Amino acid sequence: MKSDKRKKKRRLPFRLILILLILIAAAALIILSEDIFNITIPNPFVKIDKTAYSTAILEQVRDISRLNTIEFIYKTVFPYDLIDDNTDWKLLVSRFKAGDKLNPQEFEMLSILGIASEAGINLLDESYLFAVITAKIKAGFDFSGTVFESIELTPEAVDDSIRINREAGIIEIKLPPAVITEVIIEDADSSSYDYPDIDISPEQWKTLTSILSRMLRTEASKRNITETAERRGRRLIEELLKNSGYKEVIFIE
Amino acid sequence: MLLAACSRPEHRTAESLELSIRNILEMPTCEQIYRDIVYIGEEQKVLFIKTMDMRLLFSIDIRVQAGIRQTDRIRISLQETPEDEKLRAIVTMPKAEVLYADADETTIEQYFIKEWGGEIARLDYYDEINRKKEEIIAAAESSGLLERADSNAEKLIRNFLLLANVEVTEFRKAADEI
Repeated sequence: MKSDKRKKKRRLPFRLILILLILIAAAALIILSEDIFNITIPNPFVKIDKTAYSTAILEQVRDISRLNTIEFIYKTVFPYDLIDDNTDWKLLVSRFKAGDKLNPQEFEMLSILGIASEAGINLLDESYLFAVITAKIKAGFDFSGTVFESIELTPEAVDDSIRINREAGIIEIKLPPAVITEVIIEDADSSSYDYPDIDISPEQWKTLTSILSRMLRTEASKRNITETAERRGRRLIEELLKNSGYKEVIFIE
Repeated sequence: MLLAACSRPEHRTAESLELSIRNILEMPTCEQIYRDIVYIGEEQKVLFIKTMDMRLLFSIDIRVQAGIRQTDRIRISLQETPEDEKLRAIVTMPKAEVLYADADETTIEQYFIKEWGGEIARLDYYDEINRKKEEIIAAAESSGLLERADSNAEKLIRNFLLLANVEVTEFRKAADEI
């Protein structure tokens, strides 16, 4: 009887060790299959539930009357393209903490620092995270509220915009000033975005893209985007009017 | 040497942003704005113990804009009319099409975010927005976006030529001529 009990006692730890070894081997197989062989074996120990839903409703229909003639495409690297080379981050933070009065540009830098920090990018120290953002700026004419959109406007408004000398075949036309009509931050897509992604909430993304949009507008203005847009737009309109029987088209400034 | 190779990139100014310029001639004439309410959730349990819980709810507007893409393809054919009458013309122009569908980041309203045991990345929610975009474009087209864009484009051209003393008698679609 005693010898039987001893045998049973010996068998139990051996079985336990065997079971543990099998479990470890199974876990190792699962991990290795994913990491080395790129095969996914269902993991019985880990349960992941992912959900993503969205519903869209039509909120507004808007009539627009624009002529876009030029598009600037920017590729920027967040945060490095948005920050000023000369910013002393530590000094800026300490001044903010001390309650010093900061100018709008310093506030913007502080805001970028905060967003970058939330996204795991520490500008006060070494950091290798980034996001590549593509933005488009379109420029041209916006005819909203002009006689070109509503011919029913007052005769004075019409006279101000167009003067015709049919006998001489001359038309004088006053176009609205060329403007930046659109600033579009292109939506990132995992199928085409090859860089590592950043952890950033939609709210932070909103702040970041608004800073970026403002910067790009300034940058586009510096590069005279509206003048280029106006030149191209005028060329098209001149061609249309010459096709309509006019010999000469004069643009009223 | 390895450290030197991995040194932090130099800060750049706005002037160094990579840029390309494209000439376009497009006439956007109608826009539909859709409000997209997005929910993302991810929960992970290891041996029935919760190790990760992430939830995000926000809304964003998706703008679908339509109009004439190649306005340089607009052709005006003058018709013969007596001298004292207004000039008359037939205008041929391309059909309206969707110019773009894009999420408008300025309209983001974040209701809540929970990041426990992990963090939600930008592509997690943009993939959901992009997935929905195809449906939104289809809905916009079936609700008459292109027809309205066409009619607005015709109105703009008609007004423009009327001011130049040219009456448009007919609009033809450029594709119809092929």
